[in-house]
Amino acid sequence: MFKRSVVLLLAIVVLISLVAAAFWNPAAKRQARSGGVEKIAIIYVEGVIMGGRGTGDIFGESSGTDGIIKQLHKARDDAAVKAVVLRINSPGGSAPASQEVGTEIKKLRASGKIVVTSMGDVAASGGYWLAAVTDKIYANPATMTGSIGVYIPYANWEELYKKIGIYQEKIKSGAHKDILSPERQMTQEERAIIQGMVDDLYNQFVAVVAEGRHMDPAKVRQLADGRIYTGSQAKELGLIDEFGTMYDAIDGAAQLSGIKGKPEIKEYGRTTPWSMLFGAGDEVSLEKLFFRQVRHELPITAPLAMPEQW
Amino acid sequence: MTAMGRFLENVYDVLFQPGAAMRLIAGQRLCGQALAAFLLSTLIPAVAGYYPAQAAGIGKFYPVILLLQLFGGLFFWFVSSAVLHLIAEFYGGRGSAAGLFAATGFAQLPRILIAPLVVLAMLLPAGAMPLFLGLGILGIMVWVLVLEVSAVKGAHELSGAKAILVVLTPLLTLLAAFVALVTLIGTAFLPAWPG
Repeated sequence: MFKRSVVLLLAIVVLISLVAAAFWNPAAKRQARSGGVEKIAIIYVEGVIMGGRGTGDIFGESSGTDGIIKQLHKARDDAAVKAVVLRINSPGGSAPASQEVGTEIKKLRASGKIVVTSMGDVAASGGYWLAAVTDKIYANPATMTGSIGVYIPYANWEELYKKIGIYQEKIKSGAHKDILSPERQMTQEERAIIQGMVDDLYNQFVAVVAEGRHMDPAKVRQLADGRIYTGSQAKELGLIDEFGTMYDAIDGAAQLSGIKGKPEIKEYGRTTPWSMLFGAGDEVSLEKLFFRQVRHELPITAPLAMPEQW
Repeated sequence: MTAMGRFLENVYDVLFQPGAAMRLIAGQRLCGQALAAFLLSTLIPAVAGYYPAQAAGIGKFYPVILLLQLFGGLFFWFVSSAVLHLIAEFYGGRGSAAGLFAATGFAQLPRILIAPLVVLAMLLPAGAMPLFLGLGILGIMVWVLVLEVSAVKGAHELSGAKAILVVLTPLLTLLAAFVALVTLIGTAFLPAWPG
């Protein structure tokens, strides 16, 4: 009888617990009172900015801009995320890829969320393109930034091909179908076509910076001769807003979005133990891009918004 | 004594006098009662976990999680008791597979205490809740492990040390396999050491 009583008592405790859990949930009530936990999302932009899904392996995908865009969409769809800190550590990359991410950042801001940039070692060229479309830019005085400009790389390997005995013939549908082909000298007409493209992309870049930084386009053109600036120089020129670390940027984002108290941080694209263990590259390096280009995996005409050396 | 009365007494004995209880359950192969105990041990924590999951915003996935827990748990119980039976025989055990199956089903009973544990955790400040829940669940898991050792000991009439080895052998084997796999894949993927 004693045993049964103990077990019945235990059953009653469990039953009361289940009922209590159903009708009384202080955590949920706290959350409801505060209107839910307010979060700041951190999205990392690291390495060369290049379109696509990046490289994948069995432990996950590494960063191409598709991954960054996916993270921006997640932040937009999460009602608890009030602001996003874009942590940029990138020398730039492809102009279209930078533009695509920049457009998505603008959409995120249009949805009512604050986007603040925190620059790491380097946020130049395409990296600066992204920063320019955010609400506020934080950088360290020694951060490398600027390099506003575009170039399209071209290599002429004609002599090398002759030396090693490679003669390539092409049957073309049009005169310029093999423009930028490395097997032959570029013609003057082709040079003018490419220069026209570069100028157009440069104008687009200047317009983005002028609009994002509320600067006169003529002044942007003065600064945008492709040179790199230190964070300190960039602040004097109005290319960044404040000196500060990523945590200063988080505080700034909290302030701009009206978050009271300490915000919850939500990191997107965190390094997993697997990628740490197996060294899965979470960024695209210029060496990898070079080899992809040699293997004809990249469009050879990808215009680059990045310094040639960094 | 009614069937319900016998079941309640078995529940008490398993929780507070597991040695004798496991011998009796395994000897009589009380598989029906074991199934009832197992279902209670799986469903009560699952229902209690629904409310925190709802608060965390994953409530809509909960029916799927619940079904996976239920059917996955039943499958795991069946397979793990079979594996333990085989290992126990290697160590000289003389019990029956059905007896061990019944005893290991009863061994899951402490998991029903997760329900009051969740409610107690709700009373605590938000900062202390994860630690309290973590320690509480760890305590319950250790209790379950101790009962599984009792189940093997009672069902197969093994010494305490051998029963511990039977329960730990699959865990250690899995751990060793994992370490070997990680080492193997790591060796294959890691870049060569710069000379």
